[in-house]
Amino acid sequence: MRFQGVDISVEDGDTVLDALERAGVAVKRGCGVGSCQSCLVRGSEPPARSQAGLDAEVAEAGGFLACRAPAENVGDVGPIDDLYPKFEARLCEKRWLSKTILYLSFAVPELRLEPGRFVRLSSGGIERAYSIANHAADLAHLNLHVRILPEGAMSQRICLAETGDLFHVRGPFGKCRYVPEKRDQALLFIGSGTGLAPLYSVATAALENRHEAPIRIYLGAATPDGLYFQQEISELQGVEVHFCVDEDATGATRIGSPLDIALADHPNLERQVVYLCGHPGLVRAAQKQCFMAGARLSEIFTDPFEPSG
Amino acid sequence: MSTLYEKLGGEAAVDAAVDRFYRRMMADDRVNHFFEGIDMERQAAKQKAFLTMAFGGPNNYSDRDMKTAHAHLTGLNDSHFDAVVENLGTTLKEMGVDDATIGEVAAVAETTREAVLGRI
Repeated sequence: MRFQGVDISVEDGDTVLDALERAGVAVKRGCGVGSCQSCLVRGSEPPARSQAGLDAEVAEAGGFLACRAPAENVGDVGPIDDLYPKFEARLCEKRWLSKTILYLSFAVPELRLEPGRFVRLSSGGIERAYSIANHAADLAHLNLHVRILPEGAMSQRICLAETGDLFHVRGPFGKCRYVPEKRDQALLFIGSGTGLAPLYSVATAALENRHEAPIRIYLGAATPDGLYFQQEISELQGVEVHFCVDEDATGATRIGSPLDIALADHPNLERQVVYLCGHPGLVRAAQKQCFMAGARLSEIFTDPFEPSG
Repeated sequence: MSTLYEKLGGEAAVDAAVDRFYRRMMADDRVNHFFEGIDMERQAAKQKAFLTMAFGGPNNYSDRDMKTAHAHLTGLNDSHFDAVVENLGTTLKEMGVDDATIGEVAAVAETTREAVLGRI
């Protein structure tokens, strides 16, 4: 078997995953039975049974599950990253949405823009993941909400960037997206910080698809200052929006975490489709609590934002 | 004569059972500490594989897989295995499966006990 052009020794009965692990290649072993898709890799001749359950475009591009393929006759194998080509992205708009959050808009004609999913933006050897923040009715450019961290390498690059500058993007990645087949199920969005971006994008996709059940958004921040984009999100017709903060002297928002408040309002989440984006601690706690409150695990979409600057 | 897996309703039955079973395990103080801080989607995929096996469906679990998969769980013993079988039975009962069929499922699950507890 070959991995990125290098020969790898194979033992009798090995799957591709076994052989890669023995060779010390960092590949994630999940369920080992082709369900969780953790061990997704790319190959030049993947066997059909190792592609069951994959997105059509991923299968077409040679993606397959390493745990489901014998290590013989798979051709050249490589990491999944190679599945996604890099596109040139030219910065065409940049403005502050709040004291720490920048709005960036890029011209990337080749990129397939899907509300809720994310892209990897790169420049000068630095690469970071950002969610697609577009309104679903306006997919002309790639729009992002970027939190600027004082020490962040990408943050500094973005602060210095001017319109016309060239970046690169890959994607779209991630499973967070609107599912039209679930249009008769209530949608519950819980998020914090720039987790607002994918939540807003998916909510607008729901509106564009004439979603038939209630759409509710619970957004959190430590203080009212931490909230942004409030007007745009409040103006969405047919969406119930709750801003939640830890402290607020003005009384204009609700006090508490968006998760606690959402679950107090809706203790039974049976048949609700849940979207969780933002602070990783919030997302993980919310995934568990929403599942225990009756949501199906497959109907809880999560997008934890691991800060990396 | 239909197989146990067909009688239960095949993959659709597994899908219907997996969330209920997993939720029950997470709510059970006897075993839920084994599930703290783990990736829930990956765990659900494993639960699905386990249920498919217990339902008599197509699987390629070996004793070695079962043993390795549970080796890191410190303190895992018969009482935990019993709790899992009990939760499996309660889940199926809640779904309207008859007692005789639940017994068959429990018997299949039982075949993994020694491997799961690392005794073979």
